[in-house]
Amino acid sequence: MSVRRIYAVLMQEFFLALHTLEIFVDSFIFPLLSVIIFGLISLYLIGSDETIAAQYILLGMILWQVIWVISYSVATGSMWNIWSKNLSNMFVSPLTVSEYMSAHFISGCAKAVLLLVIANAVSMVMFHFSVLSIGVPVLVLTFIVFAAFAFAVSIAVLGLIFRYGTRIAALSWSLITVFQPLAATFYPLADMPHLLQYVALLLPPTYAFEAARYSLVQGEIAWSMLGMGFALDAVYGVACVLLFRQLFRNSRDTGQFARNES
Amino acid sequence: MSVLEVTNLLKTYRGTTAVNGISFSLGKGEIVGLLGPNGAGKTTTIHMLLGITLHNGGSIRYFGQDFVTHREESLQRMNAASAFNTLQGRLTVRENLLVFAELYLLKNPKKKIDELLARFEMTEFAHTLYWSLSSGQRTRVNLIKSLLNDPEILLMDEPTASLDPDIADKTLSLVEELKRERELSILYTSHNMAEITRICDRVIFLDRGNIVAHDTPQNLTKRISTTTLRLTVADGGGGLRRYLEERKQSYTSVGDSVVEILTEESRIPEVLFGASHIGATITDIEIKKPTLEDVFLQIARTSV
Repeated sequence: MSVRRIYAVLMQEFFLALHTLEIFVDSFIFPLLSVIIFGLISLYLIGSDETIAAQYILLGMILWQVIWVISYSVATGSMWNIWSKNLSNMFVSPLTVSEYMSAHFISGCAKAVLLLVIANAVSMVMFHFSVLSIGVPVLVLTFIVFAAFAFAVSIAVLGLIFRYGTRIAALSWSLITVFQPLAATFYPLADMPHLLQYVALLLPPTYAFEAARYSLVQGEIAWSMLGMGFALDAVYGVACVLLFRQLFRNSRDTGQFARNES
Repeated sequence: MSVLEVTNLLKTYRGTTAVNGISFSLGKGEIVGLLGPNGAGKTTTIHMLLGITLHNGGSIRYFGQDFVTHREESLQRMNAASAFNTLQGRLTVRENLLVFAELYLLKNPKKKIDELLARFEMTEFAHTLYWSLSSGQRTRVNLIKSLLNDPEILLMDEPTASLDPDIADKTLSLVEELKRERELSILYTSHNMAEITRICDRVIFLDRGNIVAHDTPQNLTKRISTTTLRLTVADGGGGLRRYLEERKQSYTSVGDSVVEILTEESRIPEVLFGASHIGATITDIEIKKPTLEDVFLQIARTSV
């Protein structure tokens, strides 16, 4: 793996973000608007003596942005190259798929950290709530669980797009949102409908959100929850990498990879 | 010495054979043209040679090494330019080139980029967004990108498609210059027969995935023995037509004063002497020798 080739893709990401308003809006403006809207809802709830529920909502919304922005960066980042008919150019250079994906993951994490800092600042100023209330160690650990999950889902989506073409490109920015209501983002797992709890238990972010809420209320680290999050992430990671490899291979075998840009 | 060896290369899609076990090589400093009608397998072959489409059988060897097991080393020493791929439209020319310079691990990227921009007269467009360039300017930037790593092999897929004749000519001159200066080996696909005749040392005709002809452009045109002799006559050409009919020489009348005679090249003096002997007043003579396009059409039509 070459650090310079990873740097090359990161440089492309940086230049692209500089020149592309959509990336700025999708990665920062919409997420911040969501935080503000949910913060206002939480203010309303505080007024009705539901302080902890209000904090859960704001905490969930800020942390969700980590999943969103990494997923968006990894999956949609490649779409910009496909839409420009430049992805083939990249892959007829010595660049490897793992270098390319690593760069997009790093880029996504950098955007997520930046967004987290800005969103938290907005939250502190407007709603007097800081995500640091859950403690730096829990914040870092949940960030890792979210980042790994977002990356796993994104590469699976990218594999599907490489294999079945850009007609399913919308999945690159939409599929991840399916997990928002299912992963107990804004509310405790126990308050979800019984059947959906089984689904939630299969998703790594559920455990990270639960751990974050536990830390907010109890001030302690829920190691077992975080452990489950990491374990499930490992399963998702392996499964999605294998799925991506197979889909990418099929895409090159059927000629679809080249046709995506024709 | 071959820098590229293709042996029994095979590609099938769900039972349909796109490339049927073709073999060829590319020598150092050689330009080989890959020709064929639409659907002949040219682009599929190029995609397999670049690794973006997988082959089902046979082997591709660059610099004596298997491409599948030595992908990175091979791609580091080669490059590609295609009319069908563009660079990232939302980046400037320089930004795009910087990205590729890093991908190819260049030692002094900025110097190399500046040199190439100057050589291709694109310095003034360095900070222009790629998508706002004209197609000719884009082609030049694509060529700059393809030369960043000083490749030993260049795969060019219809690089002059959609260019105006002037820019296309400049592009071809550049290809010729590169071949002379650096012994660059080039595999070149095009639908433009004049281009192929001008720059290629050898031509491979593909049809429905098979190599149907493989030779120098000169030898390929010798496959067609007949030449068209076009005579314009002042007196209406009645005498000339009678003379040709008496000698059972086939001809076509184009209007009243032009006669096109299909004959072997060696018989042209005899026909002209005969025409002069009967007193035909010839005001213009045009000899149309067979071109690569005629060979192409013959092969394409024969195969249909």
